[in-house]
Order: sequence, then structure tokens, then C-alpha cells
Amino acid sequence: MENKLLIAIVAGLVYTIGQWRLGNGVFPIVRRPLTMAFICGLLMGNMQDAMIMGCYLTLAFLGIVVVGGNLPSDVGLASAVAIPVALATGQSPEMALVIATPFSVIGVFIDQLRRIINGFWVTACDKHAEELDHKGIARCVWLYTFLTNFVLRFPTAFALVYFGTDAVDFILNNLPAWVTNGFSVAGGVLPAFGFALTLIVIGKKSLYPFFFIGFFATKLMGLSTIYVAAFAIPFVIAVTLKDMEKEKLLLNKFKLTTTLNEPEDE
Amino acid sequence: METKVTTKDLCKVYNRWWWTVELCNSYSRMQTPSYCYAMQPLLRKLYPNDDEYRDALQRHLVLFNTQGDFAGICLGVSIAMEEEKSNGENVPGEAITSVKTALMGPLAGIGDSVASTLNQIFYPIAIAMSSTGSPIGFFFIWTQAILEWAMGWVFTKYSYKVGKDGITRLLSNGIMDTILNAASTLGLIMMGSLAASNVKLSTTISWTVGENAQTLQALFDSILPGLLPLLTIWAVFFYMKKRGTNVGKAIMLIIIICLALSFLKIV
Repeated sequence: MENKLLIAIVAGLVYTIGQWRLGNGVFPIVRRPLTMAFICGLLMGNMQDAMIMGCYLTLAFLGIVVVGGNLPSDVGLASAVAIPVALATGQSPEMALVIATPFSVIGVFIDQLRRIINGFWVTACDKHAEELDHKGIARCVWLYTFLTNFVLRFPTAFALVYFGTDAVDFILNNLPAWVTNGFSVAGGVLPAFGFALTLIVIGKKSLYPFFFIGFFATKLMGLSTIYVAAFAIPFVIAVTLKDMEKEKLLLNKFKLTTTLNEPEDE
Repeated sequence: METKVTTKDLCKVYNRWWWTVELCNSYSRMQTPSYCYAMQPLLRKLYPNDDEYRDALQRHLVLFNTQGDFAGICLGVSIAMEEEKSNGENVPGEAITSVKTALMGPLAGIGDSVASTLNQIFYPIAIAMSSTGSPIGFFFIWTQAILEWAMGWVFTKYSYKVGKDGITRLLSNGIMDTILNAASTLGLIMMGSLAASNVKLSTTISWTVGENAQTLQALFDSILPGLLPLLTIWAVFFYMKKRGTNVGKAIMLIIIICLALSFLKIV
């Protein structure tokens, strides 16, 4: 029981810090499922299951990028809640993803609220700049934003983990077989979103065939992702260098012809 | 020209920016407060006169939004221009603001692509390391954060050195595109490999011909292993291309479809 309280507090803190967004390269890691999985693995003494679950959720949410600062879905709340709840109730990674999904939608509203409230701190910054109060600006940037996040996010994640575990356990144990099966099928299909989103974000049709190369290297030849990387990295470097060389050659040729032409012009 | 800005000053501005960039993001002015917060100690150093200092602070409270690491380029250029101005050269305040504003659009475009491409290269490796339950992938992924920090720091130093003309030249010579293309290619191969081992869908439909029970899945596998997952990915791709990337709605739709298929005993 003590453990449950501790884990609920940790979930609240990880969600708060991850979505407070400290450090441009840091917060994307803190809010993603790998972090919560690692912490839960340590606290619950079940590192293996936690990391497998973390990998699966990370993958499903991977394609989600923040375009123009708008969160299309809140991976922070999803991972902070789904991983401890699914681990405590002994669910599969696929089921963890199904649990995570509704929270990733709810979280978007919390983030919208945060950005509206942050508007007040910006106005306050204007006033502090007028008064040359640099400590006031620092307070707006650090303290007030942290408090805003803490108030909005900590209770949400804490309550969902603390009270949600039993509810999820009860619900999932009393579902008809076809529903459980449907959920676990959905869990296998949902990672497709990450990949589809990635393809949309890259947006260069001429590069899409490379996706198939990676897919079939693993599916048909059974190569692991790290082996694929071992082949792909030298391949991409070679092709790029060749491209650059070609451009340079063209440039040199152009220079050559222009220098050759010059005397004729005279 | 007198140089007042030291490498330490640059690093301080960059660090103040990099750690706080998204903290105070709002609808009204996006990342603006962090920009002002980052520049503040340097502006104080450059402008001992209170009125000039106030103007400078207010100059950096004008709307700013771009990708956090690539913003280093804006910071470097802003610092170089503020320094010129404080040395009494004819740099109007509006010029500083407008250069910054002109750079932030293109940099957001490049920066978002680079950042998401880094995800596509680093996360597949981290996931491959941890997919059997080892925590090593969690430690590995931090190398991406370090790389992003270092990238932004190099941008800040470089753009301070070359100033606004140097940056404009760099952005227009096409080398960025070549590098971005290479990184996207690598990212796509990695994502393809990851998709093959992680998107799972098979059908349970079966029938009997004479005495032999046949399954539809066996038929699919004899055509092409991974046919259904591949079709699923592209179906989702075209759906989102058409209907927009509202992930929440699309995910709900997938769950409902899967439940229906399960009810009908197709999957």
C-alpha cells in the first residue's frame, strides 16, 4: 500500500517535470515512456517487464512530433499513468497501450490550459521589463510556470494512478473475451500510427521506398534493427558523399567552362 | 571593433535559453519570455545606460518561436547585432528584431525536421537495446539530448562569429538540404525495420476444403510475410493524410474497428 502511494507521487512528479518542459532535449525524454518505465522498473522491482512495456509505448507514440508547439497527444500523461497501472495489474504491453490512449487525449486539454495561463506570465514579463526587474522575469519563466504545471498536472496523474489501478483491474477482469481480444489486437495495430505519422512528417515521396527496404530487411531476412543500422549508416553516408561529389564536379566543370570562355570573350 | 562578448557570455545566454525555451510557451507569444530571459545578463553588460537596457529588453519581448536547438542561430546573430549597436554603430533596434523574425520561420522548418529525424534514428536503437527488458536503452537515449545541446551551442558560437550575412549565405547554399535528405533516408530505413517487428496483425479466418483446414493467414504469408501490417500502416497513412493528424480521434477509431472485427471473429 505504501508502495502504491509512492508510485502515484512519482507518476505525478514525472508528469509535472516532463511536461513542464525543462531543457529542449531533456523533456522529450522525461515525458516519453522509457523514463517512466525505468523508474517503475526500479521501484516495483520488475525492470524487465517495465522496459518491454516502455519500448512498446515509446514506439507507438514515436511519430508524434510537436508542430508549432501544439501537442497532438499527451504522451506524458499516457506514460505516467499507463505504465504503473498496467504493471501493477499485470497487463500485457499491448493492453498498456490501450490504457494509455484515453489519457493521451485528456492530456491535450491540460496542455491547452497551461498555455493559456502562461499568457499571464508573458504580460507580467512586459511589466518587469519596463521596471528593469530581471528577477521578476526569471520568476515568470521558472517559478510561475512550474507552479502552473504542478497544480495542473500533479493531481491528475497522482489520482489516476492511485485510484485508477483497482478500477482498471476490475474492469479488465470482467470484460467478455471478444472485447479483451479486440483490445489486444488494437494494441498490435496502434504502433502503425507512429510509422504513418513519421512518413507524413518526412513528406518526401521520393524517399518512401527506403521504408520498405528497412521493413523487408527485418521481416524477410530477420535482421534486428541494430543490424539494419549497421548496414544503413555506411550506405547513406556513401550515397550522400557521392551526391556531394557530383554537385562539386558540376560546379568545377562550370568554373572550367567559364574560365575557358573568358579569353574568347575578350 | 571592440568585443565585449566572451565565450562564457555566449554559453550563459545559450544555456539560459536551452533549459527554459519551452517553460513559458503560451498561445499569445510562444517562446518569447525565454528569449528575453536568456539575453538579459548580456544586455545589462552591453548597455550600462538604463534606458538603452530597457529598450533592449523590450526588443526581445517581441513574438519569437522556432525550434529550440536551431534558435542558437538567432541567439548568435542577435548577440552580434546587439554588440555592434552597443559599440555605437548604426544598428536600428528594428533591424535586430526583424532579422530574428526573418530567421525564425525557415529555422523552425529545418529544425523540426532535424529533431524528428534524430528521434527516428536514436529511438529505434534505444528500443532495440531495451526490447528484451534491459534498461540500457534508457541510458543510451540521453546521448540524443547531449547531441542536441551541443548542436545548438555550435550554432550559437558559429552564428555569433559570422553574423547575419554569414548565416544567410549558409541557409541558401543547399548543404542543409543534402544533410537533411541523408538523415531522413536513414530514419526511414530504421523506422521500416522497427515497423516490421512491432506492428502486428493477423486474421483468424479459416475454411475447410475437403478434409484440409486452410487459414487465410497462411495464404497471406505465402504471398508476402507482413502483408497485413504493411497495409495497415499505409491505410493509416492515407487516412491521416486526408483527415488530418488528429491522433486521438484516429486511435479511438482503430480501437472501435478492432473490437468490431474481434466480435465478428475475423481477427
